[in-house]
Amino acid sequence: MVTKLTINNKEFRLDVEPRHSLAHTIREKVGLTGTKIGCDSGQCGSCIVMLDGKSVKSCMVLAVQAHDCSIQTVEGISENRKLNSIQEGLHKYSAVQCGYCIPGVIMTLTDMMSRNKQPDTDEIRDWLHGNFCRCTGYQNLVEAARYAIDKESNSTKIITNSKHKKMYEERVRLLMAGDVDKLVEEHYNDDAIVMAFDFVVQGKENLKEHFKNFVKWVSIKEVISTDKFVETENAFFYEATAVTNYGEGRVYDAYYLKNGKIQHHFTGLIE
Amino acid sequence: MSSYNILGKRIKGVEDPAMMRGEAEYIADMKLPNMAHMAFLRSEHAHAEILGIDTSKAEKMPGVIGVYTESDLGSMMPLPCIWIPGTGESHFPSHPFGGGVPGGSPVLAKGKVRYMGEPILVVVADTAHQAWDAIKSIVVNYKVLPCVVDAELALEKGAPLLHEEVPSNLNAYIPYGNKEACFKAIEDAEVVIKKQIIIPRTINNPLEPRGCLGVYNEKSDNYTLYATSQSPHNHRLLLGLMILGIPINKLRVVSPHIGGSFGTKGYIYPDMPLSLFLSKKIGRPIKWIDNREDLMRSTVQGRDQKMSAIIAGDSKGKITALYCKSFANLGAYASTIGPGVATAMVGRCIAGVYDIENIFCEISAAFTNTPSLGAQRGSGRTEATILHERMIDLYAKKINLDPAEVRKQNMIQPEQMPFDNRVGWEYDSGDYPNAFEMALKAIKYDEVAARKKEALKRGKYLGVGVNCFVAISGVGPSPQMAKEGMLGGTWGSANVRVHPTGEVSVSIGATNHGQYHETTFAQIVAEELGVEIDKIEVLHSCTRNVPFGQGSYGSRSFSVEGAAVKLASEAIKAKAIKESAHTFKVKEDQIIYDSSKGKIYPKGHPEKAKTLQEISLDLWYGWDIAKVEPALDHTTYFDPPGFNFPYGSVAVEVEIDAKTGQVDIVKHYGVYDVGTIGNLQVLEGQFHGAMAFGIGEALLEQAQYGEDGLLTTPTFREYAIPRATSLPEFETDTTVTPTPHTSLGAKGAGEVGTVGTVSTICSAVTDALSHLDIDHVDIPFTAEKVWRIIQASNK
Ligand code: FES
Ligand code: FES
Repeated sequence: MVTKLTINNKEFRLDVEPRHSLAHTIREKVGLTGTKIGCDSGQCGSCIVMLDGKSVKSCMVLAVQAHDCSIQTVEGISENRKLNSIQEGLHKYSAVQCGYCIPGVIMTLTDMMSRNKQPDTDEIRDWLHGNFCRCTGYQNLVEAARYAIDKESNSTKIITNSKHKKMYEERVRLLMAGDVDKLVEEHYNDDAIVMAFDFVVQGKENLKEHFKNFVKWVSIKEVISTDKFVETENAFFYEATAVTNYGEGRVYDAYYLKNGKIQHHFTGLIE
Repeated sequence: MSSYNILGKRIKGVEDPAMMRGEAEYIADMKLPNMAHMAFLRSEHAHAEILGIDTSKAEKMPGVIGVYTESDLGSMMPLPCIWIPGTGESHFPSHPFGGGVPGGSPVLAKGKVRYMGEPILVVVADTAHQAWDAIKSIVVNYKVLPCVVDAELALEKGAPLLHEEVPSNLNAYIPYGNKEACFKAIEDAEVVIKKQIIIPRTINNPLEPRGCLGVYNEKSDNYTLYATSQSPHNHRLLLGLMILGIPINKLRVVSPHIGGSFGTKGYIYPDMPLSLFLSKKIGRPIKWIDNREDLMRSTVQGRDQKMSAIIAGDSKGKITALYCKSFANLGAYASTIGPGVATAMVGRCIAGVYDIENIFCEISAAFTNTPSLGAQRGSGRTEATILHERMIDLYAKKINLDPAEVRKQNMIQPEQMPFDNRVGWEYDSGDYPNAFEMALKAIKYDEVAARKKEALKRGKYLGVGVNCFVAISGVGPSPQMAKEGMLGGTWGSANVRVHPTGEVSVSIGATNHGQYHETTFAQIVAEELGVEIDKIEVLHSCTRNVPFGQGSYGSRSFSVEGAAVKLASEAIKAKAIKESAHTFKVKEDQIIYDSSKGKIYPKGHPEKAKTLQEISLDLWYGWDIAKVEPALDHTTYFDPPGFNFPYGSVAVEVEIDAKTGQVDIVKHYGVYDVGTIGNLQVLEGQFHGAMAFGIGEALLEQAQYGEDGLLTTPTFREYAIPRATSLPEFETDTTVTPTPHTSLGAKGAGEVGTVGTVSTICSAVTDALSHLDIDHVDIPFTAEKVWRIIQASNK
C-alpha cells in the first residue's frame, strides 16, 4: 500500500504492508534508526515520535494510519546537529547511560515543553510515566528536563556542587516563575525572616506580600554565574553576577536554615 | 581531599551526542547487503518430549530460505558452562569438548525440551516478518512430561528428572564456613531465631533486547559476529573453541552500542553460533533480534534462593552464629557462569559487614524446568545482604534492642582491616561504622517515632530501615577465581598509545554498555599523562582492535580494567621521563613531569618544558633516543592481588497506605564507598540506576511460574519495572577509601546501589507493619500482597 508520510519535513511515498507499524516503517523503510523498539507492544516508550505535533508510541500506530501525517523523530529535533536544550540537559547530567530509552525520552520532553512551559518535578515525572528507563533511575532525566525548561524560560540555571544546590535552584526557579506561594510553602518556615534591600518582613502573610514586591521590584532576568559559595551545616551564602531590572550587577544571597527550611534570608545588590 | 585534577570530576560524556541524536548504532540498527533474518520456534511447555515436527508448510512459504533443527547442526557442540563451583560436589551433563568442561544448554533442543521458551528450531528468511510467518505455521507434537520449577522440590525423591546424567537434579552442593563450630554456637546460644527467606526470580530486562548478526566471508574464510555481548573476547573463545570448532583467529566478535544489560548479555546464547553457522551454510549474513516476550522467557534470570536461616546470640546484642541453608534454582541448564553466581556469590557473602565468630552456609543448586539462572545486577550479594540484615532485625526485635544498636555492636571496625569474613573473603579496606552513622543521620533516625505518629494521622504506616552492606567486586584475582572454579583468567588489560601528533588511543578490556567508559577511562589517562581529555579516544568491544580483555561484569570495569589503564599510563610516563632525561641530558630523577600542565622539564627549568607530544615525536622518529624501544606504546595485563570490597549504608523511609497497601518510598538515601572515583556525575547515575533496580526488585518484580511451569509474567504488563512516577528523589553521598590492591584504588561501583537497597526496603516495610505483629514478609511488596497482610491482621 502506498503511504505518504512527511518525516522531519521530508516527504516519503512508501510501499508498506498494512501490518507494518510506523516504528518498523521509519526504521526499516526510511532508514531512520534513531527511533528504538524495546517491546513492540506499547509499554516501554522507546519508540515515541511526534505525530502531527503529539507524542505517540510508534509501535502502536500502523504506517497506513499515519498516511498524510507529519512525523518528527529524534533525528529531526535539532537544527544543524546542534544540541537543543533537552539534549544539553541530558549531556550535562550524564543522563545518557545505555542511551536506548533516550530518543523516546527526548520526544516525550519535546511534547511536554510544547504544552507546559513551567512543569514542576511531579509534572515532569508524570510526563515520563510512559518511558521506561532501566539505567538512570530517572533522576538525571528529570534534572535534564528541569535544565531545559529553565533554559527555555530564559533563566540560567545556577549550579553549585553543594548539598543545598537543589533547594537553591528550586528557589530561584520558582522565584523566576513568579510562583511565590509554592516558594513560600516549600522552602520557608512559617516565622521566617526575610531581608531584601531595606525591607524587613516577618510572618508568612507578610512574607508573601514582601515577595510580591520583591519580584516586581528586583526581577532577576538571568543569573550569569555564581561564585563565592559558602556552606555550613545550617547556612549557605553566595554571590552572583546577574541581570536584573537594574542592569547587570552583583547580587548576594544568604540563607540560614532550621529543620531544612529557610529561617532567615538576606539578599541584595552589592554596590 | 583528593589531589586529582581530572579524575573524579563531572566531565560530560563523550558518548552522549551520538546517542542523543539517534546516530549511535545498536545491533538492531545494523544492516548488511543481502542480509537474511532468523527467528526461533520456542517450546510452549516446561518439560516435554518432542514427538514430531511438521515444517512442510513453512518450507514453502514466501521468502523462506530454510528451516533448521538440531539434526542440521553437524558437529556443533552445546553451549559450555565455565564456572564449576569449586569447593564442593557438582554434577553436570557432559560436554563433547572434554577436559572437564561441563555441558550447558544444547543450541537447539534434541528430542526433549526442559523449559518454556527453549529454542527448538530456527527459520531463516528474507525478512524478519517472513521468518515469523513461517514459525507460526510449524506444528510441534509434544508429549508433555511432569515438571518442577522449585529448587527444593526438584531435590526431593521422585521429582521429575531433567538430565539423565545428573542424579536427583542436584547441580552442586557447596558448604562455606565451619559447620561444627556454627552448630555448636547455636546450641550454646541464649537466643536463637529461625526464619525462611524466599528471594524470588527476577529478570534484568535491559531496555534493548538481545540480538546478533553473523557473517561468514567465503573469500577470506573468516567469520564476524556482531552481538550484544558484555564480553566479546571470552565469547569468541567459547564460540570458536568449544561450540563451533573454528580457529579463533578466523573469528571476530564485535559489540556495537549496547542498550543496557545488567548481566543478561554476558552469557553465550544459541543465536550466536547459529547465525555464524547458518551464514556459512546459506552464504548470506544472518541477523536476529529478540523480542520482549522471548527475552523474558529465555534469557538468564536472577536470584531465586530459598533460604532457611538461623541467627544466634546473647541477650545483650552480641551475635555468636549465623547459619544459612539455601536452595538455589539453577534453571534447566547451567548458563555460562550460572552455577558460580548461585553459590559462591551468595555463600561467601553472608557475613556482611559483621564480625560473626561462627558462620556456616550450605547451598544446594538444583536443575528445574525454568530458564537458566545468571547474574542480575547485584547478584549474590543482594541475596546475602537480605539474609543477614533481615536476621539481624529479627534478632534485635527478639531481644528488644534497637536494630541500629545491634548492628553497631557487631560491626567490623576499620582497624580490623584486612578482615577475614570466615566464609572465604578477605575484606580489603573500609570504615563501615562511619557509613552507618551517616545514614542514620541522613534519615533523622532519632525522630522516627514522631514521624510515625504524624503519618498515622494521614492513614499511613511509616517505617524506616537503615542497613549496611559490603559487595565484593573486581573480578578478579585469577588464582582465587580458579579456586572458586572459574575456567579462565579474570585479569584486566589495556593498551595506551601516544601518537606522534600527541593524541592518545587507549584500548580497554572492558565493554561499555551504558557505563560511560569512553569518558571515565579517558579521565584516568588524562590525569596521569596531562593530555587534554578530548585528545584521548577509548577503544573497546572488538576482538580485533583491543588486546584480549575479559569484558564487563560484576562491577569489574573501572576497578580492574581501569587499574590496568592506570598501569599502562604509568609505564608511558616512565618511558617519557627516560626519553626526556636523554633529551635534556640530565639524570632521570632530575626530570619533572607535571601532569597538571602536561609539561616535562628538567628540575628548575620550567622554561625548557616539552610536551608529551614532542617526546612522543622523538620516540616515533627514533633517530636519537634513549636506550629504549622506539614509539610510545604500552600494553599491560594486570591481575589484581585481591578482590575489592565497596560498601555503604542505605536509609529508606516508606509510607504504606493503610487502605490500599501501596508502599511509597518517601526518602531513599545511600552513602557509598567505591574507593577512587572516576567521574562523580557518572557515578551518581550508576547509584541512582542501581537503587531504582533495587526498588523494582523490592516492590514490583517477580518472574512467576505456574505449576505447569509456564511463565505467567512474560510482558511488561505482568512484569512491572519502576517508572518515573513511582520512584523517589535519591540522595547519595560518597566517602573514599581506595582499595590497597591497585594503584588506581577504585572499587566496583555499578551494583552497590542495588545491593544496599533491597534489604533496606525490607527493613523499612517490616518496620512499618511491626504494629500488626508482622516480622517478615518476602519481597516483592506489591500493593496486593501488603493489602492482604493488613486485612488478615485486622481480623
Ligand atoms: S517499542 Fe513501542 S512502546 Fe515499546
Ligand atoms: S539510559 Fe539505558 S534505558 Fe535509559
